[in-house]
Amino acid sequence: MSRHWTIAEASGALAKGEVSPVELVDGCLQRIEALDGTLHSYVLALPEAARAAARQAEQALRRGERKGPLHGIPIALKDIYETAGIRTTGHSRIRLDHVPAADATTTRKLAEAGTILLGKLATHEFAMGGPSFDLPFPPARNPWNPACFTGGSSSGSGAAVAAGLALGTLGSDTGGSIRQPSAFCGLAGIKPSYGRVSRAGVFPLSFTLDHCGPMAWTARDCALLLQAIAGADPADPAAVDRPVPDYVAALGGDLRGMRIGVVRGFYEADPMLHPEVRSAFDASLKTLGDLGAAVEEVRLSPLEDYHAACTVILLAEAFAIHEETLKSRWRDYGAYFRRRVMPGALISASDYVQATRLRRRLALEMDAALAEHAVLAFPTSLIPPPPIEEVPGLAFLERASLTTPANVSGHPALSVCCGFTAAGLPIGLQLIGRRFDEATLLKVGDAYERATPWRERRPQL
Amino acid sequence: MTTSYEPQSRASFAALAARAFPDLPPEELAELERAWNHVARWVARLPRDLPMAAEPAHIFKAPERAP
Repeated sequence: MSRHWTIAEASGALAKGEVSPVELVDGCLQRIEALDGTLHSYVLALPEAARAAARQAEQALRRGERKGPLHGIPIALKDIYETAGIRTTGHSRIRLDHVPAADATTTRKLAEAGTILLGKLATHEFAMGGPSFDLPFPPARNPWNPACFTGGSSSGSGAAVAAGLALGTLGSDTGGSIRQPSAFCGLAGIKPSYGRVSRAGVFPLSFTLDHCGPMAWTARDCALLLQAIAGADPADPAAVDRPVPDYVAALGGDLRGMRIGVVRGFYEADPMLHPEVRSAFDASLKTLGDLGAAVEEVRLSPLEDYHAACTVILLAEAFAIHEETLKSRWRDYGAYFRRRVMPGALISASDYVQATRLRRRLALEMDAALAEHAVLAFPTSLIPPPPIEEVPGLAFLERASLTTPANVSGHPALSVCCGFTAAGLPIGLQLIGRRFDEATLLKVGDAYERATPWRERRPQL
Repeated sequence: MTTSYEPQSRASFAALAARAFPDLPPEELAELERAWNHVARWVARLPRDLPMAAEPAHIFKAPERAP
């Protein structure tokens, strides 16, 4: 089996001619061939198109026409990102034959940066209903233990990077769908600020909560991908016209002088908190302190307030998007999707408005906490990845999730791997940053990764 | 957080569900009710006593530009 590459390593080796785009793509395709029969991370692999693109990228490099640090890097996209001429299903029977005419803005930007598309990745149905066994494609499996849940909804994105079936992917995050699979699959994944990355051409779940962002092995790799996709877009009214900083240049150094706020009230008293998550998270705080940060406690409103606002807004907006098909073709949806989204039909207009009023209060509260602290920290998930059969069908409807606050507030949030359970399952550290300050978030994540051994461990497949 | 909101009764659930999904078979209706009972807890948590000046969150702000 070919070696595992990070994007940064592959980029450096490509620039020096030590590896070719064709070799990188072939390595990923061999791993897909060998492993994806078990992992089901791809709903559509594109071996011929990827090899052809790799040959072109190689020829361009020989001519001295390198497009940048992502030139020749094999990537894959969650199957809600539109890809011109390539089927984009949302992992659903509803759009099984949908072939978009145009690329999503982010799809196009990654292609312009020189990446090579390996294929389309499994997702929970329309980024919401999974892990389901009644859809046209099976659910993705966790490379650290295929009996376990990948997290979702960017399930294939998490599994593919962890297993080396792509060097980087894009996921989407409405209530944690980048960060939870990043934590459960042992990756770095960043939900950027609302408005930092265009959502145009990405099938929506909730207009005001949806975020697009990268998932990769390291925070540095996320920085490289985010650099390529960030920025204003006339096709997305929410994408903000602000300068995009150099995320990679911001990496390096330690965390001296930085204040990090720990939101213990979100998790500490929760009986669901797994002891190995607690000890890994506590150890990660010690590491951040050793790197020079001042780690202090921060109090926010109860997690349940954030979750209430998120759930009501998400369900109302998701139902508005799917109303016609949920009424006319409900049998064509998987059971998990329809059971989670149909209650959106019963939310009143007043409920929705009250949720958005609460949302504003919570967002301002988080702004105030981040005025004092560069970053807030808490676990990405209370538990390590559970067996896939034990994932509750109603999921986030049943209990509050640690990932919803940053969707409600719109702040950027990063998950990085902060250790493993005794059973070898990954654990995630979640960091929330100031609006449009992804650079600091990535700097903290990168410093933490360099100070710990977790990036040296890969799934044994 | 205080609230004066009362979750919907079973009768009002049935009326709303019948209007939204008139053709849903009983077993699916039961699943919808089970899911709604969870959602209703989150709805009930929303404050209903915010001051009049408490505006909703807006998403279509004027683009912020660097100086």
